[in-house]
This record gives sequence, structure tokens and C-alpha cells, in this order.
Amino acid sequence: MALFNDAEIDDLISCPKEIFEPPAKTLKLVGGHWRNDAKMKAAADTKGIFFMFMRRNEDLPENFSVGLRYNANDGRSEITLLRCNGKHGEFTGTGDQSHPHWDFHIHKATAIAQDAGFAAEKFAARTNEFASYEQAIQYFVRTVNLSAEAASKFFYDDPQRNLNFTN
Amino acid sequence: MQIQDILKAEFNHHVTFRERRPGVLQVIAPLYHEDGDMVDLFLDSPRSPGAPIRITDHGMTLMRLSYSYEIDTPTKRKILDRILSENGVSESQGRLFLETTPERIYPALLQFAQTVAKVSNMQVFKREIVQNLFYEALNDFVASSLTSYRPQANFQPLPERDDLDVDWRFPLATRDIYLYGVRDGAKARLVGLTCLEFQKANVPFRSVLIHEDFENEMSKKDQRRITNIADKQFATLPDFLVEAERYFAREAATSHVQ
Repeated sequence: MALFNDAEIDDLISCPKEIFEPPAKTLKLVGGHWRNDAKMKAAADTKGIFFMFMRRNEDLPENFSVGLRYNANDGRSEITLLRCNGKHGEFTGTGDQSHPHWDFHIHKATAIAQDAGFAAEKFAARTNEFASYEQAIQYFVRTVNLSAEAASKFFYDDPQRNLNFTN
Repeated sequence: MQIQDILKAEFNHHVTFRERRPGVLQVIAPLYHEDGDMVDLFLDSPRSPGAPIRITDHGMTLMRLSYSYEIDTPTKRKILDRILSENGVSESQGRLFLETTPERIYPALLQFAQTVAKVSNMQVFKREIVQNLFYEALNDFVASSLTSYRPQANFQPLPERDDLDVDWRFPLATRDIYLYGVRDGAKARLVGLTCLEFQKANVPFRSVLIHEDFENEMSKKDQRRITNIADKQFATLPDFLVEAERYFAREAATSHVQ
């Protein structure tokens, strides 16, 4: 039985959030990857802690992941709710291993994956929402509903990065 | 025969390759992590003719592990080193690798992928393998986050009773805080007896117990006994980590630090 149902997962991802432990100003190189972390809490009634992690491979920086973990602090195991990934390798998309994809993709926790005994965020879908680490950060910040103040303070979106492609 | 041809034959042609950088070939094989991502396997070209081929993850395994688990204590590091050495895999600056010859490329690749899976699962089997991670994590937290309350480890309040220890003492003005980590019923019973002895000797203190898992690691009898004796308990370490600073600030506000 899933510890978190789909409605709860959606609520946890989209509930308004504030940062209480901010990220470092720059990524830090640890071992073979660059990293940064932040802690968030819900602005309203939702309890528990949200952990944002940002990782980028040193050798192959197109391999990155920006994700959201949640600890409900109520005895349930910690869950990874969301991960925005670069084109690091093929992934199994809907879980059908005969149709892997090579693309930017988003892992999202589901009840069905938990019920099947998989990692909650096993299933993923390809995305056109971002095409770089920087864009993935901006997509993540919007998706997890981080307050505008915190978003501009800690994850400033440089307009110079935003090119409008029509094709 | 080329390395790629050997692997294609061994994988029954269910394998392909992508050149990620000059001299760095990613192996696209049907080997997946639990979350559906492919295991990151790369072949680095030999630096000179006859030199070994390097199978490597280019740092992806430890990067992936760090999404939810840190190699941040000596014990965890020891476990990682043991997994690597038992499987013949080396590590350099966060990158796992295994060097081999073209003839042995297939078994070496599988051995490497298996090792990656073991490392990736460190967070899952930590409870079975490591008995003292809980104490280590608690000690790390006290030593790093509660230093302003001047913690003293292994304190003995009664000089004549060197069998009665306190895991951590925090000297506050009116009465000390004695903090204990409790992993199981045996430790809970020892802490209970120790606190009763201190009470009998009129030692002014407030006992704070941090349980690894209050509900699942102790019998109901142990739970009842320790609840009747302890002044304050945290049911799990994560509960304590979240509340600790607020709790100590509250205690200190009513009892100025000496």
C-alpha cells in the first residue's frame, strides 16, 4: 500500500513553500559532482520538511538532477517527490523497458510505483520544459511553488538565458 | 575483435554505444536503477596501446546516491570502501572505475554494474549492516550543531560511580541536561537505571532521550518503563534533528547557560 497517494503527492509538490535553510551562493564541488542543497517548509498547514537538491556531474555537466525530497516527520519513510533530469542516459519512461528514451525527463512519485514496491519516483516522462541545468532550476522553482521572494533571492532567473525559439 | 563487437555479441545485440566525449563511450545496456534510470557505464579509451580499458561511472553513482544519502561519516565511508574492495572496484575523487582487458570486458562490465547497484543501495541496507550509524549520526549532530551549549561527552556526575555515564552533558544554569541516544531496549533499561541512580543521589538534571525508533525497536514494557522515568523523549532521530535547536533554545532561555 502506497505511503503517499497521488493527490497527496500533487499537493506536496505544489503547495506554496518558503526556504528556511537557503542554498549556498554557488555550487560546491564534492567528489565528482557539483552540488547545492536547500530546505523548505510549506507556507500553510502542511507539516514536515522539503529538501531541495541540485546536482551536476563534473565530467559530464549535462548529467544533472534537481529534485525535491520530503520528510513528513510522522513515521512514514522519506519520499522523493520530483526529479528534473538532464540527458544522462536512457530511461524507461512509463516503466516499459522496451521503449526507453534519451531526453530531458522528469521523475515524479506515484502511488502505483509504491504499490508495486518500486522506488516512488520510478516512472518518468520526457519533457520540453527545460534544456539545461539553469532552466531546470527555474522550472523546478515554479513547479514546487516557491515564494516569488525566495525564488528571486536564491534562484534569480537571468533574462539573458531566456531565448525565444519559435521552431 | 573490437570491444564494441565483443559486448554486442555478449549482450545478444541488446546494447548500443554513445560517444559522450572524445575517448569516452557510454554503454547503453539494459541495466537500470530502481528509479528507472539507466546505470551509468562508460568506457574510457586506453591512454596508450596495450594499456587497460577503464570502465567507469564518471562520478554518477555517488552523485545519484547523494540525492538522499550522504557518505558523511567514517562508518559510511568504511562501508563504501568495503563494497568497492570486495568487488575489485576502485575510486578516485568520487569516480568509480575498474580496469580490464578486451578479453574480459563483458564480465568486468557486469561486475562493475553490480557494484554500482550495491553502492546505490547503501541507504537501504544501512540498518542491517551498521549497528552504530544511529549513534554516529547523533554524535555528529551534537558535535556540529549544539556546540554553543557546550556539550561534554561521556560525563560521569558521581565520581564514586564510574559505571554511570551520561552520553552528553549540557551545562545549564539551574540544572544540566543529560542527553542519551537509545537504540534498543537494552540501552533504554540501562539509561532508566542510570537516571534513577542520579535521582536517588539528588543530582539536579533533566534527562533527554533520543530514540532511534521508539515504536518499533522496544517492547511495550520498555516503552512504559522509560516513559515513566525520562523527562523528555524524541521518538526518532529525525524528530530530534528538526526540533533540537528550538528545544535547547527554550531550555536555555529559562536557564541561562553558565
